[in-house]
Amino acid sequence: MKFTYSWIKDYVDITISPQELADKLTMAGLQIESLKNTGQDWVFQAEVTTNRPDLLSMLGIAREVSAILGKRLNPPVYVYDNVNRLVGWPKIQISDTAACHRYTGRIITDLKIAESPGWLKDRIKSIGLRPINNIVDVTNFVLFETGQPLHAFDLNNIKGGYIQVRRAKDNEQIVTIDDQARKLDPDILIIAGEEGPLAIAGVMGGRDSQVTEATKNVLLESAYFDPLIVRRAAKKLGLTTDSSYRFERGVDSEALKSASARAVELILKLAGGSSGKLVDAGKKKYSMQRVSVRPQRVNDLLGVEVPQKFISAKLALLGLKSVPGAKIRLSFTVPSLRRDLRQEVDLIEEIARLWGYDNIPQIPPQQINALSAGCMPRHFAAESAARDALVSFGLVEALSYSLVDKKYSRLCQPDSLIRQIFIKNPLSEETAALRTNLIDGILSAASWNINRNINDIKIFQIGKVYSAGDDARPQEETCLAVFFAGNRREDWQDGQRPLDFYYLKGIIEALLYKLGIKEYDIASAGAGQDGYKILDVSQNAVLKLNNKAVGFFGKLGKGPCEEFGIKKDCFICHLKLDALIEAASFEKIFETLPRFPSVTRDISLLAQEAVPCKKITDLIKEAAGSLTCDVKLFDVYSAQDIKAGYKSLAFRLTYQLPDRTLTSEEVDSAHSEVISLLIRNQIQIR
Amino acid sequence: MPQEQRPNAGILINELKNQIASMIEDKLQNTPDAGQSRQAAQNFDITMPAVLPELGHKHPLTQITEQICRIFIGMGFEIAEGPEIETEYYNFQALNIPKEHPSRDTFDTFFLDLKPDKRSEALHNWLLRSQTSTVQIRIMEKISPPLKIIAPGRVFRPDATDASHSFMFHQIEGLLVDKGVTFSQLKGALAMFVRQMFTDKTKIRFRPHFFPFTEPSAEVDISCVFCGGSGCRVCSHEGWLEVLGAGMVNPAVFEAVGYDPEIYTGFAFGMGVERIAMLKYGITDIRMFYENDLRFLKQF
Repeated sequence: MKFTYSWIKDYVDITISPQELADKLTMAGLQIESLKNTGQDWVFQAEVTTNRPDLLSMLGIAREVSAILGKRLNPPVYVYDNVNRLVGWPKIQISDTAACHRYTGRIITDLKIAESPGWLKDRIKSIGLRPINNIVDVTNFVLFETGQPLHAFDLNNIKGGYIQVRRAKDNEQIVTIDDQARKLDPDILIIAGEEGPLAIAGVMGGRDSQVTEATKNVLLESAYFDPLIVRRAAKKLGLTTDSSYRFERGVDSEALKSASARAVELILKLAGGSSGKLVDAGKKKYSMQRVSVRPQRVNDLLGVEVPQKFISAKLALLGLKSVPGAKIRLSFTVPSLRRDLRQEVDLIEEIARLWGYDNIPQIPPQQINALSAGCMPRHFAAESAARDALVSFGLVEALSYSLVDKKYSRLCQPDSLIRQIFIKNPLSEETAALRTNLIDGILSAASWNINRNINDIKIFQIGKVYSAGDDARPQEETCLAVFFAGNRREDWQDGQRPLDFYYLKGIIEALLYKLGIKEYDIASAGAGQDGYKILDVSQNAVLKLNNKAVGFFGKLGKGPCEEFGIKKDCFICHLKLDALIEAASFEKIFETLPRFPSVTRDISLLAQEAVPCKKITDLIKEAAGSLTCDVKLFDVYSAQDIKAGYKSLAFRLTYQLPDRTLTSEEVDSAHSEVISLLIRNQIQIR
Repeated sequence: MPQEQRPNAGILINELKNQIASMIEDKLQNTPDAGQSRQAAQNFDITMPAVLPELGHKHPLTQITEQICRIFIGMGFEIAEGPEIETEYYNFQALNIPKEHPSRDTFDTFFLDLKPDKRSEALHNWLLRSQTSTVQIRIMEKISPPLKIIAPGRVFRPDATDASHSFMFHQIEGLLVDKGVTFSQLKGALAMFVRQMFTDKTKIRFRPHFFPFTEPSAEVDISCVFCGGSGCRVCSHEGWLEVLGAGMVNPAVFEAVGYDPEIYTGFAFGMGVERIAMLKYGITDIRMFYENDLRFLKQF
């Protein structure tokens, strides 16, 4: 809302400078976004909050200033008796009284359309509008002065001698004053004459009934249109005007007559002519709202002692009228222009802001100083623990948007049975669906970096994914995604160490360890199985907790690599973090340290390529029997001198008993058991 | 050895010990090896680059969220979480924002293509929450006062994305309800927070504003962290930066959750994590948080 220093001064005595005024208004709740000196005047740009439609007018702002400064408001004098009985009066039919519960009209005849006088043009220009002619300028002037939008019709273009306030019919059309043809329907309220639509109520007038240089007679409309009706019409037609803006927020139905009177008085002065009587159709009775405030409550809520005199004086300046009531409370009737004041707490806010928030002391709450348990829910703490673990492993945390392009989810969908949720009113195609997994997000992040020549990538993301359940209710779950590409590290001592499947497996197992999850299974994900199409056929795995799959990891398949422009080998992991958090345990129980020495034996084996390493370690553990045997693979050898189709693995076996020292005979015996079991399974000892 | 002879013997033994030690020392310095280790010491280049451990980084938004949460946990607040997908009831009605009210425009939301939810005879559409105050309502429905909670989380608004706006961002909202809670205490609590979050000299300013769920409401500014309040480009030469919204909980909100507003009062506040991160770290474009450029992420 734009207003000027000199215009407001017409209604209230201001002795402070424009800058001081801007500051006081801001600190009382009307934020002044900018203040410009135009040479002749000062122009304020204010941000009016939606609860204060009364501030969308000069009088409203002047009233606010009068309350802040404690000065009297001087509204213009309204003249009601300049009626000429020879002039007719409009016949008004309101057929939808919910959409328009009050419509006033007045006819003015024998007008001389001319240029507006200097003072009026200056006022119009000072708020950024263009002067047009004396009639139109007066209606604009009164709109901004009072906040009541007015409309002037050329009476000669209203055929039939009556106007209707009704819903438009399907297929009706109107050409508005901006020369646009607009299709209408029953959602839209219009002003119509015998020949059809004349104006879109509260939004914009019609071209064919507007005031032009040739106009001689005018019908002046001053009405109250329902905010929702005007809002819907404006949205449908994609229009916002100074009129619609005010109707949407609620104009003052008690000010229709005074605004009309003000306009008529000015029109008669500037354009001559005569005016008929005001026709006031619809409901006229407005029941005054009563609200009261308890001074004790004001003090209790704000934490400061506000004198009763202050409360009474300020609320009076805002337009409230004191009425008798119970002793512990001050009672008021609220004017129609302040429909936002409905309950006690609304009055307390008025008192607080006029008292000045700065004048309310700052006291740390006693409750905060008293001891109480600040804490976090288990899920939040567990998620933090998982995040801390991954960061400690050297990974960088990424965050992606929850809204994604529909097309990626089809490609990266590991579970084709998941029902995706779509946005009804998306901002773009790229953000029209809720993500069902974190994969496109993390691959986009990867691809962003690769496109900028950052090729060593170790990132992870924890975030929610969304889907519709069987009962069509939405579900959210927290997932974890990890992405690796390039080198894990590169230094002058060890050269390049590329990231690979086993390192990813290590990160996952380390995470499970940090979450206290000891029982889990890692199995092959199967070649191109429905859920794991995204992974390369050769290096893929699924993680299971309690026999249920909770995620997968492995080398990224060719398809997704191409889709995201990734040319080198890379690795991905996607887990249901909720499942891990549920299985997590942060309880630690001490295990007594071994008191007796262990014995290690190294063993070098030759096995066929196809034999899984796990089979070998399982065999070793089985053979070692009751001697606790830690089995650690410390070397893999597959050079020229190894038989084709075979691999050489070297293990370090650690034999231990918890309750006594092992004898060398026992170790030898166990070790030969191990060797013979391996040999029986076609595994040779080197 | 008899008692009277021990002191003298002790001195002699000590002398012998020292002699032997220095003879050993001499030998060590003058053996052929000694020369080699001196040489090696001279050839060892300590300026060769360190072999660094692999450094991980938390996302800057995570770091700010954790810092804010720590401050409030230290004041006795509990962390609460809630769903990102909400119904109109929790996102609007329960927060005193009735259907079709113009104030809804400022809280424009993404609606979801799902069958509406039924709640006591009324149908409510599913949407993505536009503020984390929804969590506060859910908690108040479950427990009785007094309570102190903070709710961090993602929120969504259909704002066109540019350097300072994003359709998705993170908020942290707080709520404290008890008997005798005042506006004065709200000022004190936020002043405490601001001094721990920024600097202990940071000043705080409350300006009247409008939120449907609080009355009185305020926008809260801090003295500009870059110029200290004297005025600079960052604060548009105002000296103040808006960082929080706050106010006393509107009695209508209490009534919707079954708290008696005559017995209990409370205050609520909210802040944007991206905004605070951008102010604290000097980040200029909000989109950088979601591009995940490693050169950006590794700075924090």
